[in-house]
Amino acid sequence: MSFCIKPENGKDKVMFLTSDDLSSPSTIKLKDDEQFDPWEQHGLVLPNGSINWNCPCLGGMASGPCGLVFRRAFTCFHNSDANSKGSECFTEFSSLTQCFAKYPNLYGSKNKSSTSQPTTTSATTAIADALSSQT
Amino acid sequence: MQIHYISHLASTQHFNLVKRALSRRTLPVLRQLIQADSLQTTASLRLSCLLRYTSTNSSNDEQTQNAEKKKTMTNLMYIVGGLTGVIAIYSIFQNRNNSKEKQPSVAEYDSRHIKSKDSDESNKTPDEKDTNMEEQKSIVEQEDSDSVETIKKNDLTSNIPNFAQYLIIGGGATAMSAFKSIRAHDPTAKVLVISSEKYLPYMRPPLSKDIWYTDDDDLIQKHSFKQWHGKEKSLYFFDDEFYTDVKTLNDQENGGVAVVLGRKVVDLDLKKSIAKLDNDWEVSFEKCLIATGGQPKTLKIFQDVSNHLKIMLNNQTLNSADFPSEHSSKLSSQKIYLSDTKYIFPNSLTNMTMHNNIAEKLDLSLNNNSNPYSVEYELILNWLNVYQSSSLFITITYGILSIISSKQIPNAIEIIWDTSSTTSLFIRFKCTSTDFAQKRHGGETGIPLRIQVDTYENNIDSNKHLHSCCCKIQLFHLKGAQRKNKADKMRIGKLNYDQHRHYQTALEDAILQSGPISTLYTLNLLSLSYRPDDLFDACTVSTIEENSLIKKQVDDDFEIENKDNDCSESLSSILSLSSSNIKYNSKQCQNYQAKLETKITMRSSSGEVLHWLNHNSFFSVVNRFQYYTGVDLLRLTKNDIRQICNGDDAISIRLHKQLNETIIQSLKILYITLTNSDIYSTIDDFFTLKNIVDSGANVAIVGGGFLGSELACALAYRSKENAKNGKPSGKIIQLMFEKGNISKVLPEYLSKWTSDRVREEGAEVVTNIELVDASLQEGKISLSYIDPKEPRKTSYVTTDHVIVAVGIEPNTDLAESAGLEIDPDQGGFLVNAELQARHNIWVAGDAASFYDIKLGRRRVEHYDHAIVSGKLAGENMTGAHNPYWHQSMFWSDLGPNIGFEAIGLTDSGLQTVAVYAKGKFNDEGQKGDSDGNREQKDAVPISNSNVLKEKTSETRPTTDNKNAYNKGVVFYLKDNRVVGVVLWNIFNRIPIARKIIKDQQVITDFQELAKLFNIHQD
Repeated sequence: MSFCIKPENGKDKVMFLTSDDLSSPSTIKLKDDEQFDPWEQHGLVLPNGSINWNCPCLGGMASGPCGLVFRRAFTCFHNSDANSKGSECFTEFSSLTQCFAKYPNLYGSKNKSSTSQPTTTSATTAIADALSSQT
Repeated sequence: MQIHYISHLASTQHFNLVKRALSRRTLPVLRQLIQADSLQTTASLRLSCLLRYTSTNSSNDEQTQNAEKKKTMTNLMYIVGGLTGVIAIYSIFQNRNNSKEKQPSVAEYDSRHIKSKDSDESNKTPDEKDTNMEEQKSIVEQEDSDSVETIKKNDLTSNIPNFAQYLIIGGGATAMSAFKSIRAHDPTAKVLVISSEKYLPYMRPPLSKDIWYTDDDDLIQKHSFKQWHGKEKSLYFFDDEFYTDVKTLNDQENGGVAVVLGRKVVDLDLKKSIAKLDNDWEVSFEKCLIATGGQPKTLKIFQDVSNHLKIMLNNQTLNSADFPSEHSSKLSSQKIYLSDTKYIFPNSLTNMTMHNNIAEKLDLSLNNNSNPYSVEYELILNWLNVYQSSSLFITITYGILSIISSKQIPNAIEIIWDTSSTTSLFIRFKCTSTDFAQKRHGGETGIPLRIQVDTYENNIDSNKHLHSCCCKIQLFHLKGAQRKNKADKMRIGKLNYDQHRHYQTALEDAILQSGPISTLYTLNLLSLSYRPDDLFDACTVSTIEENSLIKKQVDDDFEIENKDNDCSESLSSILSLSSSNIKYNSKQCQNYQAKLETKITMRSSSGEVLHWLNHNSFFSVVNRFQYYTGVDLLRLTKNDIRQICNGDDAISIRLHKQLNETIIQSLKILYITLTNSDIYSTIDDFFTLKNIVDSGANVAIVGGGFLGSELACALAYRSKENAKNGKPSGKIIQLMFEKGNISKVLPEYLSKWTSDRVREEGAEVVTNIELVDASLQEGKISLSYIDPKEPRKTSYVTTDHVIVAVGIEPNTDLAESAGLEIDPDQGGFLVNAELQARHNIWVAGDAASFYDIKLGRRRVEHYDHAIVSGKLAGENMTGAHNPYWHQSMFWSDLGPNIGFEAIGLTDSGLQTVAVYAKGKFNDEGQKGDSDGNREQKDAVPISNSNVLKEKTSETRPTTDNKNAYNKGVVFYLKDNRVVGVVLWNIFNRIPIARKIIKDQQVITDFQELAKLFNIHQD
């Protein structure tokens, strides 16, 4: 059951629809998106395979003081095709961890704030976080 | 009268003289302060005050007094003792050159500061320590002793690099999004952000939303809030560590982001690619983003009053018990004190930092008010012990930097203080009369004390007069005053309401009203800035110009005389003045004339009258006065005006007031407290407002937009919570010109329905009104407005505080110097679809009027737009060429029951089609969006809202169900294409809406379209 009303000025139409009215699939077909629209905002990995450093999912990671180190580590990890992914990136990872240690407040893990010393995020968790948050 | 004499004294002298004199005279302490302070505030406004008074026993006293009695009607029976005086404030010239010599006369008052300086521990005054420590830290590291004294301005600013690869003007969300984006695309970018805020970039939306529903005060103190899912989040985008030190930015191999706080770019030279800061420091840049955002608008009726400098004067707090000796000796002197001196400067002249300081000050004073003047008591008692002398003028005070008295002119005193801190000024006057009875009853009369404050803004090479204000203060014998007040109150209490409004009982605060600049007060008091010892010399300089001038003054004084009987002696005094040979500088005269033009005089032509009426927004009655000349207008009595105005009280009273705007008017003065100087958007404003609400004060919100509506709900909620917990709670009322809440976006029926929901939240909502006047009554603000339901009658609402939330206007001050184009319709810098204004200049956020290739030219004032456009600008600054494509969204929460998200062009003027869910409310969704900025719906509000909905569905028969717009989607149409979507109480569907807007298909069947949104589910 549904009905339509037009409030006073006629410009604004109002419909009240039950869930039954709206249960069947819509006949309106949305246009297909282009494969890779460079104007749109994208996730962590662009359709062309490169990394979107401006992805909101990275937070300030790629822009902050450890941005460059993080990029090196993450690029290495991303392009790795070794058996255990990222295993050849040890140097990059350790320099990232070192960099994190310099900014305990910025990169410290907030969940463990109960402990007296703020623990610094390790490079691997940072990258794992980034990957998991890209969806 | 002496007052006039003094004013004329204060006329002239070449400016250089002033400079020189001040540089010699200024205290080292003050200089220190200025230097230290110039680090943090851009509007380095300093005031000094020149106070002079003479206590004379004028033979005209009685006449004056009688005239006064007629005029003010309530208070004057007891005025007998008195004194006369003028206080004027002018800004001291900020000269940092040399001269460490101290004036001996100063030493006494300044001992406190000097002591602390000698002990080598203070490079700042105590007052300054209170404020803005953190900023200083970030800008100057070298805080070691006496360094500040030696640091020149250039040394300080050298901390700011003179070159920026990327320069961002503004420190809000847009700037944050932009620098993040720049760094993401250019990993070694060096970004310099110039922010006039005193905090690092932070989020503003929670300040009117989530933070009000955060119950943990400790969290709030840490500038954090609880998100909708209960997790705490800081208001700041990034931790301090994210940012690079400003000094070393250009040395960073990997680049970084550095933020300069409390500085403003005042000039942009695109030819040379140089941005000039307000301290004259120049930064050349490669690429520049303008993200200056907007400035809150205010309303005309508030503008007039909010510029006022308010001095609270309390002469009732001293009771006899405190001063037994004084009282037993029949009080040969009266004490008044000025406390909680506060300043409001016109926004256009100061920057945000200044405003923040002001807000902080309010905070302090609120506390003071709840604990009245305990500090002051101590100080007074101290003083009484120390200075049991017969000196004519003594002050007890805190926050005053120095007081300089002149040897040559008796009783001339200059007081200098720092406007950025709370200052209390105690002045003791010795009265000339011994009794406060009228002369014919054996007593002596006195002359009322008059206070004038002139405010100047001082730049390096010019001093600009900002405004003047003044009031008259009448002193009573304490007992007499109390008795008088009591009698008055009783008398007025017996009157009916209408008559009541014509009276006003004695105020606890004396309010300085910004006066038209009349002869008496026009003097450029800067010219008085000789060394005090030089004052005498100045008076003996002679000149030729004076005759014509004096004549003019006589004319003007005559005009004043009409309204102000106190001035009745002005003629003679001025004439006597002519022998004292005062030199006038013709330029000053011109200025002064220009100012006078804003006033109706006896000689005003009818054209001038019309202009004046329009200028002072008497639009509705302009045609009634079409043929009136100045004389005609001034001749009208209050009743005449009322008749001509068709009995419209509000307008006629205002007109009468304004026409007869006397400089000396201590009663019935418009006044608005600081809070409603209304830049509600900064962290400090939040705290100010929170204190106000928690103190149980009544708050009126003017404006029905997002901010106004959100605040109405939030404040009502907070107030309700306070009431539940047994704390004081005030009444929240929202007044708006629109027909309903957020009517610029929501279609009219939905807007009205929303207003009903806001009412359910506990805020009173009055729609569709015309606000006509604001006035002060017994310490409260009374707003008068016309309710369309009763158009013949003026309605009133009385409240403690007013928040004005009537939108913002974009900050485009830089456009002129930079030669950038401004959108004539919507305001804001005109930029193309890529947000570019010129080569290497981009604009983003609220300040940009950009071309949206789907929806046309737009300017958007929302948080998400700031993020989206900042991001786009950052991309394009680093070499991309993307147009504005990704539609930003915005959201709003009105209490726990209404929340909506919107995207695209949502203008209520467009045609709309809405689909609402009917029946079967089986779920109430968690609100939440990807940004995590949504407000929490905890258990209690949900159950409330369910109850509410059950109630509505029960009480309304099906046919009447049309009013239940609980959940649905509203489409905004242009040529049958959807250009905007509002998701009403349904969430997480913005991507679908965005896609529909992007596709731009012609839609005819909205039922089908609504299916895509699945409005029955969450």
